[in-house]
Amino acid sequence: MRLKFPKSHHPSEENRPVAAIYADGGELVAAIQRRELDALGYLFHHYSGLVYTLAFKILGNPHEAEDLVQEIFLGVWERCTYCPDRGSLSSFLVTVTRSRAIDRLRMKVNRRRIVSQWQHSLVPNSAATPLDHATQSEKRHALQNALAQLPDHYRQVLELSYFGGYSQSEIAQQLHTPLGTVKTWARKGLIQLRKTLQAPMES
Amino acid sequence: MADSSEHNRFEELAAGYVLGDLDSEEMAEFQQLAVEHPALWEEVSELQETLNLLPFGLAESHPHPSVREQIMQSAADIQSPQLAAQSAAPTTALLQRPWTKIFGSIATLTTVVLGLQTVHLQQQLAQVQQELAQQKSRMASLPSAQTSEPTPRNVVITTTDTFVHRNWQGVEQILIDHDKSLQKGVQAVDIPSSQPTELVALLRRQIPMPSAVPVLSAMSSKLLGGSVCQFGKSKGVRITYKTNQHGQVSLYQIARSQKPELPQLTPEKLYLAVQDGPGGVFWSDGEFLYALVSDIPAEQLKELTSAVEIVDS
Repeated sequence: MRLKFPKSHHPSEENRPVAAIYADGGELVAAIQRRELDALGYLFHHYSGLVYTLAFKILGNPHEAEDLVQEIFLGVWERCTYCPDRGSLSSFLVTVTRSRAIDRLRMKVNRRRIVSQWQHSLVPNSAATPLDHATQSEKRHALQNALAQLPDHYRQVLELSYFGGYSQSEIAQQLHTPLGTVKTWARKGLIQLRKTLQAPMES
Repeated sequence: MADSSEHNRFEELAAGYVLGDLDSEEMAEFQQLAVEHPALWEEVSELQETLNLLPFGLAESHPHPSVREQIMQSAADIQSPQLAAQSAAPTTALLQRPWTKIFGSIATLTTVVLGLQTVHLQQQLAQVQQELAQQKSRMASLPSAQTSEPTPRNVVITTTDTFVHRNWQGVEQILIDHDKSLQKGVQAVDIPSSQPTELVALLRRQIPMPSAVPVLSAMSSKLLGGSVCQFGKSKGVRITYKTNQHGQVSLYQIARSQKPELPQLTPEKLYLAVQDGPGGVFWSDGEFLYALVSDIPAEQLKELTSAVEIVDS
């Protein structure tokens, strides 16, 4: 199951940018597995911004983020484990990037950061930066709308957990909030995000 | 699901699962519901997709243009020798990896593992029962001050494959699974990854996994990847490592169940040295069973077990 956006304005998720050359993310990856360099170039063109943005957010260092970008794309080139049945290509790349960035973060000995520095880096109300292809713009737009409807503390906890790699116990400690409350905020935040994102499709 | 309150509960558990914050009771409840309603994995998938949209909420930035050039150049460099190799021999790209041969050699040496008979079966059984009884007795006699913070005590058992076969079929299945994975070499790994958190995230898309996952320290081993395994009614994962000193090592995390039969494991570690076969270390945290299996003596397994770390993902 993929998140769906209104078909009248937004063609099926993730298919449109790839559709010009490849039918979908699966076909693009299949072309990469056939060692077609153009396919890798295409993948980089459309997803390097997403991968780099996430890597930079977690690692906080442009050189390390670029190093990780190289690792991710060359990893896909050497052996890609993406399976279209288990989600979208962007979700796969995000999962791999986030995990590897957090692995790198954990390898640093001195990893004592202040939770407060992580607040409010999601930008629910800011003008969307135009992307160079439409589907990611659609996602960005839809997500920003959904984030704008989310209570601040829900968003804060989700952000700390997702980008900061903090456990919810650590978040509870830092925010001086009971662990149960932090869990509830994170879960409700995620569930509400999904409902808001699905609403246009169902209306 | 028919009942909306049940659906709400599953939705909440699914969100906790995706966020990695389920406690052990919730994880058990989640697993039970997921077994009863397999379609509910859709729920998990949707929430995972939603969570993975969060990076779209960040102000976007791009890597330096030179990064693209470097990647394309490196990809072309990787492509050339592989294409040459493929034209020379019609094998898959995977088999071009040099360590395939090493695994092949290990697999050949370890093909014959099970099936040897022993004349000391009853003695072994008596010895094992005695050791377990003594261990239990020692644990029971510990002062309460110590039991509140127990010092891990370990049980070492030297036994035979026949004994394992007749008493602990679950252990036997794990040892056989490890042996098969040796024979398959790198192809035993369904999800290749050298990054623990990444591997756990990818495995979590296929099977319930707790937030705390044991891994071998990167100092002592190289992570090759993981696979989902089935032991009787229990699902689990096999995480494969290559070590310099101990060859290929399998680390299992398996959901506890009545079948197949396993020793009543505790956080204390059971070192099982099987005559002429692979050895293993087994322990449990009450919810999951863990096993570390390799073709090395029990003493070396102890050393290897000391490299197990818990990753909170």
